[in-house]
Amino acid sequence: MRYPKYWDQARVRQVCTTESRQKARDLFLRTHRPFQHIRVDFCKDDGAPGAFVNEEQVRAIVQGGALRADNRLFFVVGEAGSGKSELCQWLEYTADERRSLPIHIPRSMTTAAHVVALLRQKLDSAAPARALQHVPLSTQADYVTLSAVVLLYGQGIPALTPVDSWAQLIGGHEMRQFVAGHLALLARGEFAPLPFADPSLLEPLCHRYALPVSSADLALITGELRRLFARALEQALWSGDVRSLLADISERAVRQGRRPLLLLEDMTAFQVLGDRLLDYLLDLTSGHFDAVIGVTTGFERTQLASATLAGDLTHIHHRLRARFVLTDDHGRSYGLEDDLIELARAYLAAVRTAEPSDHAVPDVFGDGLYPFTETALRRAFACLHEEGNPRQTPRLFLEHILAAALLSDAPPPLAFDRSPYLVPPPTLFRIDEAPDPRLQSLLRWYGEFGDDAVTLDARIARRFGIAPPAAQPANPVIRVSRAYMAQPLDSDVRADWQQELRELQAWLSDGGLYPGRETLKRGIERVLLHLGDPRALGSSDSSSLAGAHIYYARGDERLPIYLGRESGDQPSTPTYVKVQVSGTSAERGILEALAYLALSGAEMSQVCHNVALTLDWAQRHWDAYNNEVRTLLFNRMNGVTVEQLIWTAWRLLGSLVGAPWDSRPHLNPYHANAEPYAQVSPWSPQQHPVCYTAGEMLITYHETVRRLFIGSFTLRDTLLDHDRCAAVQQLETTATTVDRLAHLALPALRTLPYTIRPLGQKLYDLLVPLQRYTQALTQLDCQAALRADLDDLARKETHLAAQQRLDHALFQQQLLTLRWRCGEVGAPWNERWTKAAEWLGSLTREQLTELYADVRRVRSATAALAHAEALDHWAYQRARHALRPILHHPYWAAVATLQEIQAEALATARARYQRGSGLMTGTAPYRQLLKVTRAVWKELADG
Amino acid sequence: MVERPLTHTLAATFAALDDLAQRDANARAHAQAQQRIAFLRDRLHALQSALRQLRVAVTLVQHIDPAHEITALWSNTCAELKACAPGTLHAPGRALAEGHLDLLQLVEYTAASVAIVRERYHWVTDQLARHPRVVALDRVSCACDARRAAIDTLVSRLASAKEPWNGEGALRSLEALLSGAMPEEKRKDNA
Repeated sequence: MRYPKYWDQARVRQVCTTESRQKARDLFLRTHRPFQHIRVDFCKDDGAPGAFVNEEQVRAIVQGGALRADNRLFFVVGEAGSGKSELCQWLEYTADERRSLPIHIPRSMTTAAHVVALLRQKLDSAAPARALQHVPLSTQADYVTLSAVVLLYGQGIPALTPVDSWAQLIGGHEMRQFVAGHLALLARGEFAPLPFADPSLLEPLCHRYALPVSSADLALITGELRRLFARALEQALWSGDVRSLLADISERAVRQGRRPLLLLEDMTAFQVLGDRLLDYLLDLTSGHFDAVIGVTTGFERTQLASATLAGDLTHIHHRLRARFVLTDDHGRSYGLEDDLIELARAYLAAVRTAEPSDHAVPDVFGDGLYPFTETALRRAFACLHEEGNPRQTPRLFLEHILAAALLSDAPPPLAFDRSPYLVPPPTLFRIDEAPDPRLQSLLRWYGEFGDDAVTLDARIARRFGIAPPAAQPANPVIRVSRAYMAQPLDSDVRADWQQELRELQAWLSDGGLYPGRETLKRGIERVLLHLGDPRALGSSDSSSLAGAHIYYARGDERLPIYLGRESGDQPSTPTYVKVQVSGTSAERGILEALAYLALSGAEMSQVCHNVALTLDWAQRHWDAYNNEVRTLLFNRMNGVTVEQLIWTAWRLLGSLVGAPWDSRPHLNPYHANAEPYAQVSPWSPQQHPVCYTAGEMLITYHETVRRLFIGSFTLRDTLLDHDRCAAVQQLETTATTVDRLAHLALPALRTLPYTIRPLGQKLYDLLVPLQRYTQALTQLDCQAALRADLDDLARKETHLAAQQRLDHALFQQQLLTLRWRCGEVGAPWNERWTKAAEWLGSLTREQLTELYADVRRVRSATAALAHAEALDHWAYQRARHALRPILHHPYWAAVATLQEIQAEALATARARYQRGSGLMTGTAPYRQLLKVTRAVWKELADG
Repeated sequence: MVERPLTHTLAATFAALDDLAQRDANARAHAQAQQRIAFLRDRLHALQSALRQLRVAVTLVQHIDPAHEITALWSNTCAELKACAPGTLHAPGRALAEGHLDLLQLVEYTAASVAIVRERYHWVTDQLARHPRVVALDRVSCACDARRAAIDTLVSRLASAKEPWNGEGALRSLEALLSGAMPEEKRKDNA
């Protein structure tokens, strides 16, 4: 595809060369843009300017030294291509030659021979003789080849093995002759190629020395041999000269009233020579140089330190006069962005070989910017990347934007798309409105982004031969709707938003790995959470702050989302469900909007093109995921839904705390201090020990279940959601639910990924007592328990019948006597006994009669229930609650206490009183006494 | 669950407590009576022993000197003790259980009888120790107290002996006892 051009390729290559030295002085000065922002890291000169200076100020600093001042070093630090050469070149051209003798060593001049030759030029004909000048060339050649052999042993690569054989080749007479010839040419001042500059020379030599070399290794070995000889030449012949040459230059220049100004474009390019130069310059008293040394940022940090004897970068910095920095930490040239358009304009003017006629170029391109626009240039500049990192330097701009576009046959936007140094900006418009890929490319690079559309002057498209969209063939402005609305300020959007969108669009178009998918997930999460958390299994209609809900808590706080199409996400598993987003073409616009939503932090209404569509999409995914979370719990809970679980648990607890309900639930809290469990429970610790204990454990979760119930079945704190209640009642067959809960396998539920929010409890912790209680209920023999209750009632009725004849006056007297008798036998009296005795003392005949009647009535009712066919645990619990007024009547406790007092008194008396009395005359001691008496009497009688 | 009025159960409890208290009182009385029996028995044992010693001592005197006036002492003593013996001596049960005046008379009788018999016994043995025949048995010329101690020892042996004894044998034993009572230095001198 061709378009009108006003330049030719040769001119472009001539102008857009990145080596400043390769330009003629006039061309250089035409295209040079002044450096306005050079950061001064430090400067030891008095009265140094502020943090940023321009190139004029740099020159003033560099040339500001006294004539006989010692060496003054200046570093110019910047990324590759940031303009170090440009600055050195400009200093050479503009230096005041009355005060300075500029010596510019360009990047291309890296060998010692070239540098020495350059320096000798500066000494005119009166240069002193070189150290080896009087040595015959053949001897110098022997010296060089021997040095090369030494280097081979020390630095040879594995390909040059066996080393001894290669040493014979390097030190052979062929190579000595070749080096001698090279030196002879140099001595005559002619061009002298380095040994092995021609690879074809190697093969016959190898053949002669019986060294097998494969064709694949030929280039490698040739290059290595060339490097060895270059270093050998440098070491043997030239390096020794450098120091004396520099000293001579320094002395001569000072004698002329000038200081030598050494402009070393790029320290990185030198090897041994660079070290020698640096050592000379760092010895500050060795001469009177002003040395401006270009150093790349990475080289300064990693290599330069080791180049000194001290091995320390600080050692170098202490000897610097000033350090000038051209790029920031992100590799961007200071001030280039501001000067970008003028720089492009200067180069485009220099490139142009023919001026277009009036009105040939639409003014929409901007003055002198054709075939670019200011927008396109700035956008392309922002998209410059090198080795995966953004890098905005003049060299990359000139080479890969201006030159690349001008040299390409295709229009600039298409050339930009093909450039490996440009990361295309994301598509921010609806591609279905601009289906032509060329038009899409043009809009991406040249389009103006409005809040709701991307626009482009149709003349630009026509100029590049690109047809406007079919729907707007004759419009002066091509207008394509934005995929989303970009209301937020650019400063609010993450810096890498374009990269993120590019990755998203690549995934949407072709599938495959999507590195930045977390951004899209954040956007999806945000819009889904806008509808409520789909992991929360409560009623979305409940607005009660007291409500709680069961929450799917697998993973972290983030909503688990799975992006399909091999994005790199792990799909859902049976136990780890995720929101499924497949990234279909129909979802493209919505997903792009959601990604930008996450990047910008703006509101949905500010970003989404159609909020209703986006919310509809979100609602479908919300419902699907919420159903998955519910289904997972349903399956793990033996087919009990979350609503059935909460409904049944609340009903069980209602009965446990003495507030049973059947169809119309209440929301009453339970206060254990005011209503002890033993008083309100339908269970007796003696008669129903398992139910009693399990219920006591479950009742600690009363508030938890109450809040879950509020979260699921109310609209507000005290307003029941009758629709939800009715729905669960229709499904509810409580016997089945209780049975299913009783058969839950607790060990398998230990890892159940559900919690209760906001209470911070695990659902499993609630299920444990619930399962044990329901299991106790299912194991309870209600008929047998009811019979036991009837027997107990019968005993109570008999007892009360006997009390109908009670002499209350006597009873009261007896109660007083009982206390006295307890004191008599030493049974300690306690407060509880006092209360019981007082209560019984105040008991009236009417109370006893009333209690008797109540017992008879309840017994009749209970007996009737016993004859009913079906008696489930709910009915039994109701019966137990009907019994509670009888069972918990204070009379029984008082009578029990009375019995306890009597038993205690008798027990104490038995323990205290002695026993064992009997007839004294029947005892053995008495008989012995009589025997002795008779013996005495006999003695007396005998006397 | 009791099936009678609570007053009945309380009355039953009080009756049980009364019964326990009565039993306790009886037991205490019984224990005291046992202590009295033991006391009285000890006194009677002492009287019996003193009588036996007196009888043996008088018999020894009769053997040595049948005409000695002491020989009637034994029969007189027995007659006196029989005469003043209280009526409850042969059936002391009531006096022991009730512990009143009868018991005091019994205790006084036994205590006084022991004192009288022992006093007479001492007088008899003193006379015996001074009797020339006994003195003659004393070849080492012991003091009178030593002879009386030897006589006490002999009487105790004879009183507790179960077999019958004769006078000559008793005198030989006395002689042996007296020689055994000789001091060591005197025994060396004799040797």
